[in-house]
Amino acid sequence: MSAVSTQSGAWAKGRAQTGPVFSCVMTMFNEGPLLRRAAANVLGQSHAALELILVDDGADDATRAIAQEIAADDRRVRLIRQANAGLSAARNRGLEHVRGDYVCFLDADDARPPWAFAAAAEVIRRDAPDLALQRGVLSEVDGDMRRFYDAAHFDRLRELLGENPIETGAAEESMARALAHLIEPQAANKFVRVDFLRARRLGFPNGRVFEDMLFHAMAVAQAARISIIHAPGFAYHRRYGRPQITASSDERRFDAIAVARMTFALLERTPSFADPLRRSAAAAAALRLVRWCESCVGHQHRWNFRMAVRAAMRGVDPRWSVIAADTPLARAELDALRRYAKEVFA
Amino acid sequence: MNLIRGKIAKGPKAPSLAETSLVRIEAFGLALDLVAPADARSAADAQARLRGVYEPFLCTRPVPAEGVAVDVGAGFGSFALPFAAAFPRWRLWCFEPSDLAADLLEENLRRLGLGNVTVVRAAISARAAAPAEPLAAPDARALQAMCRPAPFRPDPDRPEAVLRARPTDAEARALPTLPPEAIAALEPDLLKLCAPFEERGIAERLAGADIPMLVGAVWETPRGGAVLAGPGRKDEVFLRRAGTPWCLRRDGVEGARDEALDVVVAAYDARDFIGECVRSILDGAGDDVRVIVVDDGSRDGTGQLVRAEFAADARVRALSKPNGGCASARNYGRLHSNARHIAFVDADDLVEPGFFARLLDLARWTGAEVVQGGFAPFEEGDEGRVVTPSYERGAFDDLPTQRAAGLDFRLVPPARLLTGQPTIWRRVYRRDFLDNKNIWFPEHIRAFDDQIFHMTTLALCREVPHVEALRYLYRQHPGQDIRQGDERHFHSLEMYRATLSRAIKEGWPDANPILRSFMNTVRWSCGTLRADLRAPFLEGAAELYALARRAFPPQTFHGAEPAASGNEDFAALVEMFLRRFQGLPDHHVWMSLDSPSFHPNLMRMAAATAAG
Repeated sequence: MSAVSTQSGAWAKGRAQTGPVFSCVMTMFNEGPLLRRAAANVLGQSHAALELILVDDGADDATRAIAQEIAADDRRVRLIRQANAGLSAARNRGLEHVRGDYVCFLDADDARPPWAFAAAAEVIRRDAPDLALQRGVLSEVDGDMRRFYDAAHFDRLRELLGENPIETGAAEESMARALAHLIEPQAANKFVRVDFLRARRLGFPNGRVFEDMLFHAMAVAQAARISIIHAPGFAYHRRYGRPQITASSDERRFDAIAVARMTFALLERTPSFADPLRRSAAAAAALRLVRWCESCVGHQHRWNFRMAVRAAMRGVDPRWSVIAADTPLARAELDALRRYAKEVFA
Repeated sequence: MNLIRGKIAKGPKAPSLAETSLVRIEAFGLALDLVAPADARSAADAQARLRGVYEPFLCTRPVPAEGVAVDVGAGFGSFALPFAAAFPRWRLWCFEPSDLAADLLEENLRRLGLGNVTVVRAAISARAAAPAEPLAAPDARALQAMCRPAPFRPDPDRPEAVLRARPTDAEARALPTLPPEAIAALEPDLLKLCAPFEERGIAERLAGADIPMLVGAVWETPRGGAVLAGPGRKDEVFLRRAGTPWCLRRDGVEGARDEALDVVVAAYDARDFIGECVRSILDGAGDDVRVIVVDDGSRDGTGQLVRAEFAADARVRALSKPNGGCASARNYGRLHSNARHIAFVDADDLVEPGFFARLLDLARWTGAEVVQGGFAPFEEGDEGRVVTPSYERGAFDDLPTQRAAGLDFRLVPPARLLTGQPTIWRRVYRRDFLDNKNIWFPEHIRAFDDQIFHMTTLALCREVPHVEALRYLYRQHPGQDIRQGDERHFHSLEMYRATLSRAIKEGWPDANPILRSFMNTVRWSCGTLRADLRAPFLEGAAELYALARRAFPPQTFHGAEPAASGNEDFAALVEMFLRRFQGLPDHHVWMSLDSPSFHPNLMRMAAATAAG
């Protein structure tokens, strides 16, 4: 038995690196010095076969200057400039330019450990999946750090599958894919095979935030094989240092409704819709985000928000209102979401 | 299950070391099989520390491709070996005093065939005297030769580990020990610390050393200032108090603020008090507690006095500005501060020694937006100073006691503080929190301006660590705002309206504490106001209450019913205003309405019109 095994053992022994090549898309707007840190996190990956696509989404001067320095220092960086069009459009723009085997994302205010790509590469070499999902770390405003919100779902996937990927047609596929739908729709937690991305034309809803919900759902629903990487590969920061959409109470929260509706409409054409368990997990994932947004908007918006959710749900298949009792969620959350579904589909 | 244990609990009798087993350790993208004691706890502890401390640390900062790492308390190698394997261009020094653990560590090293790790069989402790001359970067043998014995005892929970011995320990035995300076001599880029009960001494002695990355589990909490504000560079820091959520952290992002507390003292004609006030703040504090005296256009030479008396103390700054009121002076001080933490003290008050230094340390270890000490009123009488125990004493005894930064404290839900008297001056605030939430003192309000600051900070912060044993002393004397009963009371209506409106706009989950505070203020104001102002004040309050009634759901008024105002007429007045709105539906938009009765300047304007 080898003492060093599984994830990236080959790399640790110092053997020559072999594919895959990763393309990391990073958009920037006003991140300033945080951008340098995030870019260093990507460029400092021990798995060096990568390109960093920096999409300048109408960034401020300070951020652009830093991006230019980063691009000048490392030939693996490509800088693409556009007038400000929002996060989704900037990511889509970046996707047009990827030349690697697998694409991933890192927001300029988040972080990756140096082993993230190596751990992913190990799993990708083994499984050659369409999609690989990776665990993460949550950095809290009080300085505490812990496993990301969805650690329990990853734990259950490991119980269910061991180190094996989610396979189409396998006995546990339904539950495994349901769990994958419930993993946080985070951009940094996934590696998507570029051929798969192109074949399915995966992308983000232009002009909208809460964009990850749609991208995550469509990738999970359609990937023939999904690998799970249990070594944490990103850190999501909650901070007071700069305003975050995920901490706002304004009308941008309404985007969650629009994106949920579009996600449902697209998912209706995938195998995740036909299977009641997967469908109910996908519904729970989307409604969870919508409900959270409703609890965050200003009180003056709440009635409007609720009306918009109800109107949006008129445009989707009524079967999305059913969140099954065996959906793998904690009891309290499951009950709350089932009540919410009943209300907004009324 | 949280396996990062905080207490050294009495466990079952440890198995003999002959019983070892291979355990799989997952860390840094690798899975390694290591020889560990067969008891489940050693391996589980190690994995929990990797998951809860070391891995998150490395996940959140740029780790260079090469460097020197020092592992203090390396144990059987659960940190050092995955690190050495994942970062093959790093060189590691492992310090481990227990022979049993060091044997396992060397066995594991041999099995893995890692060439970048050196094991030194020694403890690191501040009990070892500092070397007379700075150490040259030593080799392992030289380090070994420098070792002196210090007493340790077996860890009752982990067969391979040892702990600092207490004087009464019968089982204590002497183990080779090196001074912390030996670590500095290795010029590490990263120091990983797991040395139960030695941490404080090690941190103090390494305060001057440049160690870019510092991570560890700690059982006692080193002074945050020694780690974060010492003369040596510590760019990336994450120390977690074992078994608790408390951690000391720094993320080396450029443009960060000073690792310090600025205490802003707004002073107006405070010549008689300011010297003692500033001295009390500095008493028992290090260089990271600083004072900004804002002389708000004093006529008595307050600013000059401060400049003269504290000319030799770099921690004290005196700023002078034209008179603009207490709120403007506090904001002015904040605008001139570049510290991570800030506090606002009144010029005629005092603090007991170490008040701010210790609260600052607690603020750093808890990461809390707001931390606070206790307070007590005092008066200067013929017999000298008389301090009255605070009415607050024991008010939070129902909450469990916690410990961090060498202090016993209780985590108080902010709603419980919000409904009470504004006591903004006994608190330490995170500057990034105040900035992010855009919380300022309202400069046009010349009295009770701290009410809105008090409410908004407490409505938006998490639980407040409260240390009753530390005391802020506030001076009672005639002429203080609190004793006055003029039109300025009407400002509180303006502040409650603004706060309730903000609660709507930002979707605060519960406005009940604001409304209860409102009722408390109405009751208190009615008792203090000049007789001729009582009726108009009550009328204004009733109008505001009526607006709130139409904007917030009924359960928001629990404990804030009109009767809570303590005034018999209030309920009838509220009904009168509610009748105005009859036939219109409830809506949040009601809270955007306003009335001249909420604004003293508009009331004066109205009075001037009538007079004209």
